[in-house]
Amino acid sequence: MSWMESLIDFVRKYKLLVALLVLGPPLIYLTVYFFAPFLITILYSFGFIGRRGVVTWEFTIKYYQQALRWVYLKVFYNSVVLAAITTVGSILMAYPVAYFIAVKAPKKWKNLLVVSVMVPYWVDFLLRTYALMNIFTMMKMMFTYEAVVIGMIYDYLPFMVLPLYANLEKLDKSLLEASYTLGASPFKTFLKVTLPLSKPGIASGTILVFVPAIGEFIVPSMLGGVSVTTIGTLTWDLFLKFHNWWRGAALSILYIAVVLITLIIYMRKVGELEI
Amino acid sequence: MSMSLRDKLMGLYSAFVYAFLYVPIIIVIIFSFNESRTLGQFTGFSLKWYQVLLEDKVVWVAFYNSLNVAVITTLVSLFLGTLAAYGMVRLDIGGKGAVDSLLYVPIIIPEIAEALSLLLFYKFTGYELGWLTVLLGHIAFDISFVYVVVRARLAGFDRSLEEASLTLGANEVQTFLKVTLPLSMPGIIAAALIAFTLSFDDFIKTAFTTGPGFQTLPLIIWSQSARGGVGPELNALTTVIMAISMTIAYIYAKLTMEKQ
Amino acid sequence: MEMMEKAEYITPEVEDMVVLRNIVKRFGKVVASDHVNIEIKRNEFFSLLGPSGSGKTTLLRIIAGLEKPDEGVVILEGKDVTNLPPYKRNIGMVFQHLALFPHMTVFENIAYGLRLRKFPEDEIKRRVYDALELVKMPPETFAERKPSQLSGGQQQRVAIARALVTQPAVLLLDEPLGALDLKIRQHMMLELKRIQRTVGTTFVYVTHDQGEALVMSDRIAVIHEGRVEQVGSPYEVYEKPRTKFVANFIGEANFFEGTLRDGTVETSFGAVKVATDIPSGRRVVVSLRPERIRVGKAAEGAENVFEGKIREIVYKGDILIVMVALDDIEIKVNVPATHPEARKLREGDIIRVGWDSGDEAGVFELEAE
Repeated sequence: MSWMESLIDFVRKYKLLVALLVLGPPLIYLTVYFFAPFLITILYSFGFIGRRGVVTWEFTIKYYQQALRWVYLKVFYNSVVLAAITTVGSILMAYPVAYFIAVKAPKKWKNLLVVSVMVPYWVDFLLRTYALMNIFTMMKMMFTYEAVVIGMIYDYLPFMVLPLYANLEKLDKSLLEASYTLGASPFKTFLKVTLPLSKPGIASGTILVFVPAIGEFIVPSMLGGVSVTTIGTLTWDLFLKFHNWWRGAALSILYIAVVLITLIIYMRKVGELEI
Repeated sequence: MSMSLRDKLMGLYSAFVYAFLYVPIIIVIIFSFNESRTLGQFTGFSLKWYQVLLEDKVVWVAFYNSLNVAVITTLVSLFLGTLAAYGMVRLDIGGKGAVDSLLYVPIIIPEIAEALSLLLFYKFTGYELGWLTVLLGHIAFDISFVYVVVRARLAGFDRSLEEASLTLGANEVQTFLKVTLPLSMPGIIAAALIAFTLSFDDFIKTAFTTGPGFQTLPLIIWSQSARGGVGPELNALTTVIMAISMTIAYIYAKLTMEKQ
Repeated sequence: MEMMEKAEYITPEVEDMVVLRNIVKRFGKVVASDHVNIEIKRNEFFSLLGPSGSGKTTLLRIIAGLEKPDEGVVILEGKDVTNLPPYKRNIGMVFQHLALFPHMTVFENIAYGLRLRKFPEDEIKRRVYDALELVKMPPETFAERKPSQLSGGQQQRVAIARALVTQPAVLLLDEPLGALDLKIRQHMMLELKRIQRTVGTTFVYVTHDQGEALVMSDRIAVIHEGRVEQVGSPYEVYEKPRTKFVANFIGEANFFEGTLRDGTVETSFGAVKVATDIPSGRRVVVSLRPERIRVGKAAEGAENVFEGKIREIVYKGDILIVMVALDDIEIKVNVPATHPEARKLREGDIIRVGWDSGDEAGVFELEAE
């Protein structure tokens, strides 16, 4: 037991050192393989040229100017529109389902119903989007905007159902009964009680769908082909097809800025994300 | 309790949404067993496309690569993420809020942005693109997920359980081994399952950070379906990967539902 | 004296089992313990009683070693343990939410402390079974169950057995009955008292419920805002509260203010004779328990007699609670249901109330402005 005691003594005496030993490795890893790459991306977006450690740099903002040109702004706009359609579509599809599972479904089915929504969560977008290609090919819908919209809703739907369900599940059923006893019809009750109380769930779902949907690459690329351009497909092309890293970096930094600003506004207004 | 018409309609609508979620997946599975190549016409049951997969060396190599990356990613990110979670929940130090936010960033940042920054980083530092670069990127992303899941578990259980152990005569190390670790095990297992699937299925980060000669299963699906190429071999391959992911998802669901 | 023999571990030379000397504990700006001094005697059932947030739990955790005091000394069985971790103190603790290990059976939970002390396996089994018998849980039925398969009261018993099985010098209990419903709580109170008598261990019991404290304790320390307001037997803290806070917190009391002149207090409704040593001319508060006030014929001849209008009558079975308006204040009077005039009382009636000097629970000086 003496090694244990000396270990405990050590922990007591050198609290900060222990914190460093415990939190150090994960933080160092993330610094090197996550935060440093972002720093480099920012440098690239300002004209930095570095390859295998050799650096030449003339500071410039021309890549941002290029990224803000009309063609690119239109892509930004298209991406936001597509993300907004996706979000509204998923709310319309997800809300009744989440409400049904949380409030109406028989208790013994509840777990199964929730798990069934969760399972697709675990399959990567690539595979699920590929799954849709079978149907769209049969229906001769490939490479249309409709196919992209349906694909987006299909992929993002679980991200909307789960936070809504988590929220509605917490809803105190006696509130609905109280509303009925006060003379409100079920429809009125929904409008005046359920819907306002589920706002945090809708907000969480919106963030989980809208923010990543802006930058979505897989769906527009696989189902839209060249007909639909989004920030995602543009970034992909700039990097992996045209090797224009500088403009791509500037575009990506702008996109991250949009994402962060949206999140900060959300956090200020709503607080925690409910997932 | 009988359901009103309104409830029945809602149930019907829900059934429709579930169908929307599952029909495409079911179609992939069905057509992976189709005898002929023609899409939309089931001409007969056959396992021949799985046979083709089994005999395809490229698929086997990619499967090995996917598994290799996913297993190592899981082990490393589990270790680092659990360290971070334990440190954040139990250590009595200042500045925790800032560290916590840092650990969340990888989850918030869009994957494509993370992927391209990794590519720039590798180009800058002169890494040879391939197995290692893919692996390092996957770990960076998974640490945060492990951290969130394990931390929730650690923060979720009553601190007085550990205190009870101390008052019963166990020191801190014994308490950790006999109480903290067994009680956080479901969280750690759940985190491992999540980390594994995130890595095994990953496409975008892998695509950006891989080099010539290193293929994973999702990359094969991408490159073969890119031009709209849907075929029974791909359906079979997708079925296999989905089966793996869904099995893991089901185990996860079982684990997390049981304790409620 | 029989209980003394069962407590084989007691070191006879020490009379005070727990001594807190000048304990100060701050959490940020909040002072949770403000120079607390308490001595708890061998075999005592000692309660720390106070409202939530008063710092009573902090004191218990300081005794356990789960919190370290900023200043002061903790002495257990004559030894300074201020700097010792919990596992080196000879204590047992029952937590507010019981903290039974959910991944272990009842047997494993109780054996936990014994295993750490490296008892042989057959000795462990004997002691665990004895402990289960002590708390009236038949071991054959319960030993192999998981805590989640037990009712609230049963979990309670297991938690007590687990804390007692290592034969600690002091058992610390942190509001353990709070989560139980009323019937079981009342039963468990008597059970706790019985267990304490049987094993003879010193119990330190934290509660915000004055009923629990009065029923079970040998002595009570009333804690308020981190300070000890009064230490005494249940009788003392109820009948002779030393501060207005104690008078108000324990039991019910009517309060009226006034200036003290030659043994009478000038109140808004008249002069009230009181028994006190406080010098003349001071502003004081008089506290008077509802059951000490007599009504109707019984009030005649009392030193203080007033008339007031009945505002409200609440029937409680054994007593009637009668609210009587005296000028601008309303006092509460408990009238026994057996009182000859009890059935004739009506709201709106004028009634005579009376009490003698010395009937008041206390006279407290108001702090000089």
